[in-house]
Amino acid sequence: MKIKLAPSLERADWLNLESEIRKLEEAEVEILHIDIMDRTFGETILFSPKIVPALKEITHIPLDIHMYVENPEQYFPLLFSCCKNDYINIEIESVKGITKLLTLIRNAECKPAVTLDIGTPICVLEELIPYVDMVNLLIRSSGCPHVELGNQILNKIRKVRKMFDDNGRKDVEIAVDGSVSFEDVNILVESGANILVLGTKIVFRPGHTYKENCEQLRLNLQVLA
Amino acid sequence: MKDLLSPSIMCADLLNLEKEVRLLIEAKVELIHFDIMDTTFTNQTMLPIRMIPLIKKITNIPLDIHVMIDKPERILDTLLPYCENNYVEIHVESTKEIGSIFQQIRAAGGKPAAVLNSGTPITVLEELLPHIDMVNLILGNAGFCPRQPLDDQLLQKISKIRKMLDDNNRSDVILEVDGAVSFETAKLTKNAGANSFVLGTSSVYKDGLSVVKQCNSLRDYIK
Repeated sequence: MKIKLAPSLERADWLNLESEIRKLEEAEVEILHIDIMDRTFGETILFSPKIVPALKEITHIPLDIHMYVENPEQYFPLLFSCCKNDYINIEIESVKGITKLLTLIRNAECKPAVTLDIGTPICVLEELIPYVDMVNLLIRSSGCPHVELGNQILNKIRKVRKMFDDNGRKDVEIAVDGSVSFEDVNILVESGANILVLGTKIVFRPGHTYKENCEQLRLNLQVLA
Repeated sequence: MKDLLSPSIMCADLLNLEKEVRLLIEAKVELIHFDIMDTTFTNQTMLPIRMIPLIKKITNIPLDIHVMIDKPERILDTLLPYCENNYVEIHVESTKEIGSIFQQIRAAGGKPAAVLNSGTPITVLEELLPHIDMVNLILGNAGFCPRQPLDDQLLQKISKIRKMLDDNNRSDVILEVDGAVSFETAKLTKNAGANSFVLGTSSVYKDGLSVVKQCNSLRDYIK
C-alpha cells in the first residue's frame, strides 16, 4: 500500500497557515492532518471546525479531520458541505452509536475513519469492518513524546492489519499518530501502517525545509522497500 | 474618554493571521479582541490559548481576551502566564468564583474585565467595581446566536453601567460593547456611554473591504 505522509497542522505556524500549506504542497505530502479539539474530550482548544472550509478553499491536499470532541455529529453539516473525499476521523471513545456516524460520513461521500487511543482494545473495530476506510492508531500520548515503541503497540498495528485483511478489507488504511520519528517509521510500516501522521520530529524538524524533511523520510522508506 | 477599537481577530483570515495582525497595527487599533470558546459556554470552538503568545510576539497592542468557558477557573493556570498587560474578560454567568479569578488575573499582571450577557442585570457588578478595569456588555448572548435588536433596554443598560462606574469613582473603567457592532451601533452605544467597540463582520471585517480603511472610517463616523 502506498505510504502517505500526513503532517499535523497543529505543529505548523498558526499565524501563517496559508504559506505553511504552500510549503507542504511543495513537499508533496499526501494528507493534511488537522485536530479539531475543544475541551469536551481533549484537555485543550485546538482548531475550530470553522477553519476547515477556509482550508478547502486554498488546497487540494485531502484532509484527515480528527474529531477529538464529544458530539462530533453537530459539525457534520459544516464538514459535509465542503469535505468530499476527505477523511472524517472520529475518536471512538468520545461517542456512542459509532456506526450511525460512519454511515452518515459515507453517505456524504467523505471517508469514514476512526481513531483508537493507546489503551483502547481493537475489538471495538470488530463490527465496524464494512464501515471504515481508515483506522488511526494513537501510538504515544501527547504528554510522553519520547516513549519507545514497544511490542504491545506494534502488535496492535499488526492485529488491526490482519483483522481487516482477513475480512476482505485489505483496502482499509492504517494511520499511526504520536511523535513519529525517523527511527520509528520502518518498524511502523513493517507492522502495517501506511499513513504516517507527522510532527516536529520529521516534517517540522527545525533546521530543514519541509521538503527536505519529507525527501529524507521517503529516502529512508525506499531503503526499506 | 478616547474611543477604543477592538477588532475581533477570529473574524479575520484565519489562514493568514500574521498579516492580519500587521493590518491592525497599521490601523492603529487600541486593542485586539481574542475570543476563546470551547463549546462549554457557547456552541462554538474558537482560538486556542496557545495562540496568545504567538500574537504577542509580533505586536505590543494589548489583547482583549474574552473567555467563554464554563467554570473558567479550570483553565486559569493555562491562561495566567499570558495575562500580562492584556485585558482578561470573564463572564459573570460562567463562574461562582469571579472574585478570586480577578485577583489571580491582577496578580499575574493582567487587567480584569467583567462580561455580561444582555439578560444579566448590572447589579452583579456591585461588589466587583474596585477590582475591574473593563466591563464588556454583550449586545445579545456570547457565541453565535440570533442577533438581538439594539433597543432602549440595551441602550439604557449601557447608560446605567456608565453611571454606576461614575458614581463609584471608577470613570476610568472601560465600557465595551460586543456583538454585531455596526457603524450605527457604535455611534448609538457611544452616545449611551460605551467607549470600546468589539468589531467583526458587521463593521471592519467585510468581504472585499480593507480593514484599515474600515477602522479609519469608523473612527470618523463616531467622532
